[in-house]
Amino acid sequence: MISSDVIRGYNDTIILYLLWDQPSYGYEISKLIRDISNEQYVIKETTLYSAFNRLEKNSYVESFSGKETQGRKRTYYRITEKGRKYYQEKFLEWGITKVVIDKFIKDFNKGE
Amino acid sequence: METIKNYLDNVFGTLPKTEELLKIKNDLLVNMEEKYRDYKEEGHSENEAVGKVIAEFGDIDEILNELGIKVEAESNMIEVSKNEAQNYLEAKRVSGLKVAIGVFLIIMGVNSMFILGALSNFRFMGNRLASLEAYGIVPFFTMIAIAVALFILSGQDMRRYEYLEEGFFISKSTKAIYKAKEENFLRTHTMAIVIGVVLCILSPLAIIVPNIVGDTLSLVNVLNLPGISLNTTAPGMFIMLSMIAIAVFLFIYYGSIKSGYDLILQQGEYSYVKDKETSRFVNVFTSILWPVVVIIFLLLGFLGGLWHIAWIVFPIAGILQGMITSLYGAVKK
Repeated sequence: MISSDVIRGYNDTIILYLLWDQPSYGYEISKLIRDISNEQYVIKETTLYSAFNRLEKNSYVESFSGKETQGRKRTYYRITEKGRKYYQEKFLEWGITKVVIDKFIKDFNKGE
Repeated sequence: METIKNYLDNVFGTLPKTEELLKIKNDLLVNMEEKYRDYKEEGHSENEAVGKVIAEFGDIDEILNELGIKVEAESNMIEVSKNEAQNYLEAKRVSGLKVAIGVFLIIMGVNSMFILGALSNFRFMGNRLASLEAYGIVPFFTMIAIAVALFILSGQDMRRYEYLEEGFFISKSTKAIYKAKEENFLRTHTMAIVIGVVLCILSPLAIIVPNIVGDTLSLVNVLNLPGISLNTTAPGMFIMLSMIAIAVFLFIYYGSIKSGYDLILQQGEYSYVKDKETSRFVNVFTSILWPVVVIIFLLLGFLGGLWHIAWIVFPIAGILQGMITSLYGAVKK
């Protein structure tokens, strides 16, 4: 299980990735994160909703009311053009981050 | 399933009921219920499923920070209920009444020295009642003693409500009730202040008029009781000080009720964004100013024999306090 501190800066990116092909809603996204990460990352409810809020405020996603389950309306989220551009930036940033962090992380126990 | 709903109700219970938050609460409930059903389908027991859903809820502060809602400041504050507000206002009124009576008694105590001093010239059946002047000191100190007791009692009454000075939270509906009550009260308040000011302005006439018109028209001579010869300025002094005593009573009593409303409605001196440092300065300044003023008043009276004019230090001190505290507040900003 990954600690939420490590992944904090990439929650928004993960959500945008999952919205890339079609709109989705809260629980579906959190379930996808759990499944795709092989249950290594379970996003907290409040983390997910603060991310939705932030993404919507920055116009990276837009929300709309969707089909009902058990008489209750769900809020769906759809990625915007601005969101896709932002995702591209994060993709490039992650490429650099990965390379940089890799330079400082090694298994000292493994020997040369 | 009820447990999840109750859990969310608890989490959102103290938060403002904004549309934004209610929407998030509803979304969270829909998600959590769906997650709960999935966990049960996976074979978890009801308790396990609820436990997992709640464990994966997270920390509501995360959402509040994102929305820019500051609840910490409010949640640390005590909420004042309608009943408590009512109790406070009543306590404030009674405590104000005690202070007002106390100050009234002190002024009347000074007054009693005049009247007894004047009566020292009173001749009864040909005998001069000279010793009365000395007795003037007795009611004076009696009244001061009663007044001090009243001041202490009044302070005691308000001790229970000291926590309100630290800031509190009051619901909009409660505020609305007391706003309406205050508007009703303000008419009485204005009337009381007007009467008080008029009394103050007219009070010197009690001395001036008999002196101008002449002794023939002064109160005592109008009464023209046989065998009585009074010091003619004494009744004028008595009337003037009585008028001032009534005015001061009105100012303190109605002012106290008004400041009670100000605190409950968080307006005026007690406005929400009260500058802590300024209010501390005002407190310290006030607690030094008034005892000093009382000492000056007593010194002027006893040593200078200026009782007829010494009372002027009280309105001067009042104006001074207003000037200095508002000046301090302005300079601080």
